[in-house]
Amino acid sequence: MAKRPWRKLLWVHQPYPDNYVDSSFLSQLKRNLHVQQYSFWALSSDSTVIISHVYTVAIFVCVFVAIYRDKYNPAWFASIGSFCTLVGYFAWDGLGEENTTSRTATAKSAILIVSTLLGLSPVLKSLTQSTSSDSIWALSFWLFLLNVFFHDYSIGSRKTCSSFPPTLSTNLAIAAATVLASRLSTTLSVFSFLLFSIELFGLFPIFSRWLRSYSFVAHLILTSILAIVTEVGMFYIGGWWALGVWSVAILSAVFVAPGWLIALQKYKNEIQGPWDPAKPVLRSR
Amino acid sequence: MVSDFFYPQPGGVESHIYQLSSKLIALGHSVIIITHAHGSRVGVRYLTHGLKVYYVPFYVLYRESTFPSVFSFFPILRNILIREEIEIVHGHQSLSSLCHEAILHSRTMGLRTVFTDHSLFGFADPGSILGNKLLKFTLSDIGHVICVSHTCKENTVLRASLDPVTVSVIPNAVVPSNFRPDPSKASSEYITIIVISRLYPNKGADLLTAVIPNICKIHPTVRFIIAGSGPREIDLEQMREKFQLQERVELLGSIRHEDVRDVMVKGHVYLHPTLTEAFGTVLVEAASCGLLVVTTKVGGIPEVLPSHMTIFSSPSEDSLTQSTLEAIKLIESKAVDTSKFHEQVKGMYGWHDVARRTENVYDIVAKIDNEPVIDRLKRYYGCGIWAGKLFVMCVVIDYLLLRFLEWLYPESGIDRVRKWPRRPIDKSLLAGANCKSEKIESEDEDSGLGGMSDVA
Repeated sequence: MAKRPWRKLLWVHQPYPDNYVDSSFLSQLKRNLHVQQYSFWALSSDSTVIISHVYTVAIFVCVFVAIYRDKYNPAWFASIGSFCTLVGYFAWDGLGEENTTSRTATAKSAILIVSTLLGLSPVLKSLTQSTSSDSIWALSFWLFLLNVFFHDYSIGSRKTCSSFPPTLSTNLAIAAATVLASRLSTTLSVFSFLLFSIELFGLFPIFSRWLRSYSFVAHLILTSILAIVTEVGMFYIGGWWALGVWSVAILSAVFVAPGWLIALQKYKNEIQGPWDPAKPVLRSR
Repeated sequence: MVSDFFYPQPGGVESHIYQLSSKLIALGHSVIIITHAHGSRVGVRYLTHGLKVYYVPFYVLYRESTFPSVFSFFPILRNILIREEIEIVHGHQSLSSLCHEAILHSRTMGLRTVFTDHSLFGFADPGSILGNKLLKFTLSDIGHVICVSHTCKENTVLRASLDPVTVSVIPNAVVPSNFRPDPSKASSEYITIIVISRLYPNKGADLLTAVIPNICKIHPTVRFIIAGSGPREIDLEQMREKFQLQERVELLGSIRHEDVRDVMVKGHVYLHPTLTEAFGTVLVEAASCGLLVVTTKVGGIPEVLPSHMTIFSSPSEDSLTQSTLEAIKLIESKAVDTSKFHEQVKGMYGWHDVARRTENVYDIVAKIDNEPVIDRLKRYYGCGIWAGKLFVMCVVIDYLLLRFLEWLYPESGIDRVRKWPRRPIDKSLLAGANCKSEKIESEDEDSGLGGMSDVA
């Protein structure tokens, strides 16, 4: 008499041993179901988003070195920054972006922030007087590193949820700028430097995110401008040597890293099966 | 039997170990249970039929799991195993570090090992990856593995890279006499739907919260009784207030396992909205109480009950609402005869059957010859580039520790326990033994063990 075929059931007693392995074993196993295929150029162009933020940080560091080491007048940088901010604001305003706040309200809050900064500058100047410079460099390095990690690189509207609030990275950068500013000698330089940092870390990311959603070509042009400025800054800080190291690092981030990521995709082994917790489908009300 | 999970704390694994052990004793085996101390419950206790429980004092880390200290359990484990003349060590549940340690050390001592896995794990989140690595470590050198469902077997085989032939599927069971139906308790004017589940997101508490108002809206004569507590309890309460269902949705909070049957018999339909489940003993209990079961089709659930007792749905709000309405219609039109469920379930799941099948596994394990140490090390080495070396190191240290312990506490110096007499079920003797173990409990661990041999 032929045995009845084995069935994947527990409530029937079947004439098979308990450790019987049927040919249907693991038939519901699915592999790499949700794996995305990457293309090199898409990854490469996406990496410019990260690169442009790294450029921002690098420019900021260059500016600090210029003010701290070579006694450049910080007011120059603040003026250039403010000018660019105004240009950016009017471009943003003029190109039909729907504003929730009126221009007067924006101007009001800008004046408020600038005055607060002016009032706080003497306090901030003496903030880290009792700390050695080495500690400040180390601290600001870590803060900037965290800033680059936690920065909100998402494309499009702010509503797309990112796991970290965008304010976190801004706060980290402003904190780094504050401790660096406290190394400067005059109240005016502290004020100018902080104003510059707020423009660079508070307002510029909003502008660049908008520009990216507006036109990717414009974003590439902006990134190229930032690249040139940074290269000049690097040459100014450390000569040919710094310029070379910096360029190699950036080029490998844009071209080598995406290739590496694609090469690593062959090791991808996602396993899905009936044991995975199901995702409940709820009607939103 | 070794596991972190045993009475007095309630739970499925706990009752599984207890029921299995008592049935194995009935089959003529000598069984002891080793678990960690629960509060003041330290030392040796006796349960019914001379089932001896060692409560070993260990620090509890998370959700009743002990701190994974790898080696610190070895001295006392060796002492207990030699004292009780143990041949097979059977660990339960992959989250129990006590179980993993016991399996590792008993393999070092050359004993046979069996492991039972009661739950399912994914492969993606960091917790599972770590857990799976540990499981691979322990199961590299296991005699045999028992899983509670076929889905669970597939999962465990993948997680620990096992040969599927060394994995047996032995389901959980219920004590049918504890889950007798009682149609007189159920209301005749209302259809009552029972839910007994811990209210966690992975148990589908969100689905439940979404489904209840839908059904109450469509069906004016449906009532819900929900037992269980958890982080999503507050959502249920909010839903009840928002839709003004205080009269129709009863929240009991957490209930004891003994009371499950009394709650179940009040209902007609059992609703199980879970998102993951290895076996689902509660489904069998509900069917045994004569309830029609509505459940999501996830994990090992499709294997558990025949189709005339269950209505399957996909884990979505609409599907679960549809299935529940269908169940209500079946009950109202009396198209399904739930009164026969109890007898049918009785024939499907019984602890005696489980014990007999577990005995078969023990027979298989007892026939396996111990391989040389170097082969054992080779198995561990294959676990991974870094993990393999780490595991081999652990095992080598374990061997050295064994040698040291053999020198420190020679085997000849350890008293052997007199076994509990077969079938002496005399009420007075049992009471006396219980008294004695109460006394021992107050002494410290070693003297408690030393005083053991004259208890029986």
